[in-house]
Amino acid sequence: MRRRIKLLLVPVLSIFVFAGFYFSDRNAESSDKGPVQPVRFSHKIHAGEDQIPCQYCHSFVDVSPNPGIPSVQRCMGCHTHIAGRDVDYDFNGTTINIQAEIAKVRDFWAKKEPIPWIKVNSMPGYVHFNHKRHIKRGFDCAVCHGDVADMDQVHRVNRFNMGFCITCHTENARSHEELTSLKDCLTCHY
Amino acid sequence: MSQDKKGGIRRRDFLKIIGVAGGTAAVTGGCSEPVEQLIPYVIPPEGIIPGVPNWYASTCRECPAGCGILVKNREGRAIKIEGNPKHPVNKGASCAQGQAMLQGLYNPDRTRSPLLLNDLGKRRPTGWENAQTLLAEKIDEIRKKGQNGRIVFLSDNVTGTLGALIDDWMEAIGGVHISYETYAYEPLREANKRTFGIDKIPTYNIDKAKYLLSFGADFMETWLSPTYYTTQFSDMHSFRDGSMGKFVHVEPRASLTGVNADEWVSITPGTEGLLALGIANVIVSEGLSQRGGELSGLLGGYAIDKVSEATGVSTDTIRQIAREFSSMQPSLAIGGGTAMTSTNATETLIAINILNYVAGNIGVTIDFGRTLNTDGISPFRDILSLVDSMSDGGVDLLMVYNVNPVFTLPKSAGFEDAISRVPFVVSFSSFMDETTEKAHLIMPDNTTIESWGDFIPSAGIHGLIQPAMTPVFNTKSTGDVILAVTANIEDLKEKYKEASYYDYLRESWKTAYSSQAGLSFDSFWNKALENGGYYSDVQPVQVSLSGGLSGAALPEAEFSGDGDYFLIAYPSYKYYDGRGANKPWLQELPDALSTGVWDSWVEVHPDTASRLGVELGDYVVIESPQGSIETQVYPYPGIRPDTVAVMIGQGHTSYGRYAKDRGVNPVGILPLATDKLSGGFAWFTSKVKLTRTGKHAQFVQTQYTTHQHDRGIAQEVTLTEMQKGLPPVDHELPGFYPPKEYAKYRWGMAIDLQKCTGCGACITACYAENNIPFVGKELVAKRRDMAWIKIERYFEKSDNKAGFETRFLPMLCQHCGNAPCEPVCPVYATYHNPEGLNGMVYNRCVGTRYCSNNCSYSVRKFNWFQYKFPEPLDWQLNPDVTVRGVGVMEKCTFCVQRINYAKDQAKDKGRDVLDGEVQVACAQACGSDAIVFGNLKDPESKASRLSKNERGYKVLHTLNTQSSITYLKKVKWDKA
Repeated sequence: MRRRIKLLLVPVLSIFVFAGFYFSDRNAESSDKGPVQPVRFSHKIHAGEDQIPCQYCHSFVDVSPNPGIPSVQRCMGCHTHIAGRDVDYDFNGTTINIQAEIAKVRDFWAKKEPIPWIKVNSMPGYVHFNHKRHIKRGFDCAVCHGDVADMDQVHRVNRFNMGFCITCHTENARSHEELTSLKDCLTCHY
Repeated sequence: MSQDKKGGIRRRDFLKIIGVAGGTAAVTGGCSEPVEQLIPYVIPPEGIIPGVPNWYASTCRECPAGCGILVKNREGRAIKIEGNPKHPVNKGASCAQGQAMLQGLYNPDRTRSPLLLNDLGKRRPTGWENAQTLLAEKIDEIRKKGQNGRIVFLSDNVTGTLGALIDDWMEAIGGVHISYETYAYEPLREANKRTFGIDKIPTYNIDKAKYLLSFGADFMETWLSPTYYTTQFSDMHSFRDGSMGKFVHVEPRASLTGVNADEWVSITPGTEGLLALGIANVIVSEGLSQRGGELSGLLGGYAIDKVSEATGVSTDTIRQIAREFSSMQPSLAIGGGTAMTSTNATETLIAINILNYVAGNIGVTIDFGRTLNTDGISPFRDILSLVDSMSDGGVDLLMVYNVNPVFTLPKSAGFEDAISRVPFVVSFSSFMDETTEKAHLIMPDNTTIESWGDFIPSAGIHGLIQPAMTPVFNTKSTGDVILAVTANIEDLKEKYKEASYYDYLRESWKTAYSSQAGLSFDSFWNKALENGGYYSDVQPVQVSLSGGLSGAALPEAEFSGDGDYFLIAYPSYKYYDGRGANKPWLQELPDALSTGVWDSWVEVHPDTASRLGVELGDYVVIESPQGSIETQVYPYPGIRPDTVAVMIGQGHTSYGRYAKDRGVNPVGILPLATDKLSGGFAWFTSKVKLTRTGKHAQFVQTQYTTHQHDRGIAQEVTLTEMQKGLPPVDHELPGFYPPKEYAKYRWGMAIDLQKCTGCGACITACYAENNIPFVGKELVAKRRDMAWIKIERYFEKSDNKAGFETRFLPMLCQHCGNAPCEPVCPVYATYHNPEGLNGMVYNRCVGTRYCSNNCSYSVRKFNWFQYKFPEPLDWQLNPDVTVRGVGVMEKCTFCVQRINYAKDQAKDKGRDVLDGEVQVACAQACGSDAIVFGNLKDPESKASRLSKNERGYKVLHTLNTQSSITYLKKVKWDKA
């Protein structure tokens, strides 16, 4: 009897383990919080209210596989002059002071230290994604990254697994030849 | 839960609990992704776009050839070296040493800051200010004594601005500058002085010659400018329009250059000069040439029978060479290696000059216009008097730059003892080598990739060196150190106005060159930076034979020691004089002949080996009166039974983890002999005893067979067959499945075996481009090396004079149209891509290794471990290529990252990829143009045209793998 219980434990435990994997993954995806960044930078204010084009900061997106993250100098290009309002701001449910957040940027600049942003979207090392090709083809940033202009804290809208890529590639291929190449493993994996 | 008597938990229960607890931990906490950071620039560096490479033109300083290089920089880090196509020396090609320069830059054993030896004998890091002040004080102290010549600056042959600065500085502080080159070619200069009255080394136009006769010159390995001469040789020796040049190599041992010859002529050591005069005598006495009548008196003494007896070369061979040398015009005879390192070296080289004169080659294939920049090299006797002076306490301060004489001079020269008597030694080496071990103060120099500078390898070629990245460690360029130290010396404060060596360099280029180009200096400078230097044409110089030659005598070469075997200590194309030994890529690059790695060995003729009772891998002691070394035997048919050979470069007692205590240094047991006329060091003067020790170990090599076992892997045709025309061969075998269709591209390759010299530059280039890990000797011994491209070498029985011939075949993934590896993969990790590539998807691979078992070409490599790249070697990794993890299969990808890059660039321009736009790393590095890569769908592409060449064949084509690589058969000279 005891032995049977022990044997039963194996599948039961396995179910728990896999269910754990499944749900934790789901939770990560459905989270609209996004990681808490060292500076509460609001894309909603910059890209939304102020209408700053994405490429003003992510300036290499159409010339390089990497979009580029703005240097601290680029932040200070504006924030040398803009100290921000001394008001409370509802940042994804957390109350922050805009001026205090901008002051953090000035601190990094004064110390000549980079701001250690936390990655929201990440690709494994064996995937080679080229931003330039997608921008040159005319895709809007929002197709993959969601409406960033409406997010204070940027969070992951799409999970960039292979299904996501291939679905889009299949829908957008202009010819059979292009589809063949867009579905080829070596397009991204090498 | 059951408990034992003491109330503790039983082992089994403990394991159960741990199991459950671990599972729970996995459920609750194990699934969140690790936090990755995005670190921006604080101030973005100008001109750097993350993800887009920048290229900087510079000059290679790994050997004195001074090839032009392009350094690929990604995000501020140098990640790849390529030859500079605009440079007149190497024309875009490179060698393994040049490729491995990056592992000098990122070597984990580099000296990371200035080091000072304290009173307790320990080296402690110190600041640059402190070190510079200390050196300035020392200099000041010595100068106050008022004696000149007590400060010595010992460097290699630093040409250009730095050389001039050192000279100038030494003059100002009352010191002496000595330039020590390990291979100084003194006999060659002396011979030219005596023959033509010009103390220089000319440029040899091998490409113009139809017949090349080399007396020991290892021009594909280290001789003068190996990459330059390899490209020239490939041009001369390639099969074109029904003919090709012939190359005959005369040497007691068939070196890598020797096995590439159409004929290797084995000769009694030290008698090369006799043979040259014997050949010249036949030419003159048989009236084969118009010239040389005035020398008939001299040549008459070298009757063919006498020469044949002394040299061991048959009279038929001598006659044949004489006829070919005089009829296949223009011809060229060159001398180097063993012919340049005996005690009669100068006379031997004079004899070779006479041979060239007799055949009418002077001014045709020998050009004294573009001469090598060897004027600054100090004669060997200066090195010896420096040793004496140091021993006698005549040197108070020795500064060592870019040389390692403790290692490269024979022990019998006494340098090691002498340097210990110098009260203060400063080393500028960035590596802890044997000489630097003796230093009191180490002021590490930047490597070439981190510094400004220039280098003038030969007349009219002014190579610029520019930094391709900021220094990895706290090192400082020696030019800057000299300026800073001088500013610290009281009465010399104002001597140099320039704040940095960069300013000094620009200033020096200003005075020297700006007037010549007719441009503003800035545009001249920028253009020079872009081109990698400033190159001007040099007018050919006509020389004539000096009168006194008719009385020249040729003494016999002297050998010392009472052993039975002549010892050849030969310079290595991988390690040069030992400087390459700290680079793991070079250590793991299989030697072209033995395919040995990470060690030394002694080459012994198989007959000699059986006489000694030793086999492959047995240890023998090699003993000379000056000392002994113990190493493994490699039986090699390409060496005379009375001669043994050991490569120079291993046997370091210092020089970092990859070099230290590995192999043996044959230079250590050489006697201190010199060439009588030039005074240059004579390497080839020792006769040694060989004794078996009874010890045996596996001889670690990458290819254990020398035979093709009748599989026709590396094929050959004779010249006669070629001239008759080969019957067309249909490569396509009927298949079960319909043939594959390709839309725009089918990537493929053509490899000309007639051109491949086996040098291995492609292998190292591939390691660099594709993040291939080096695994070390122990794993290579288990056949676990990771090279994606290997050079297979076969010794075939032949009816030639040597009795064997060598074939090299670069073997890499054949990207089969009908690949054996693909159908056996259970997870579709390897598949045929629509452009003809055999794709390998690392993230799909589960490591069954079925594919590698089923690969007919053995080119798939498995990651048995998670291989390490000790920091900062990992800085070199190419960000465009996945670093593979443990349990994953890998193999050649045809540099798919470069294909994708070229397609991306072409798409920007709205067109398809043009021929030549994708250059795979191996083809790019190849100096002999043996590898050509391209689109086989484009009938006009170079690769496509070569694939249809009548010499073309597929390796193991009966297996119907439909490989994308076409090999072109080697062409054998079969005509008398």
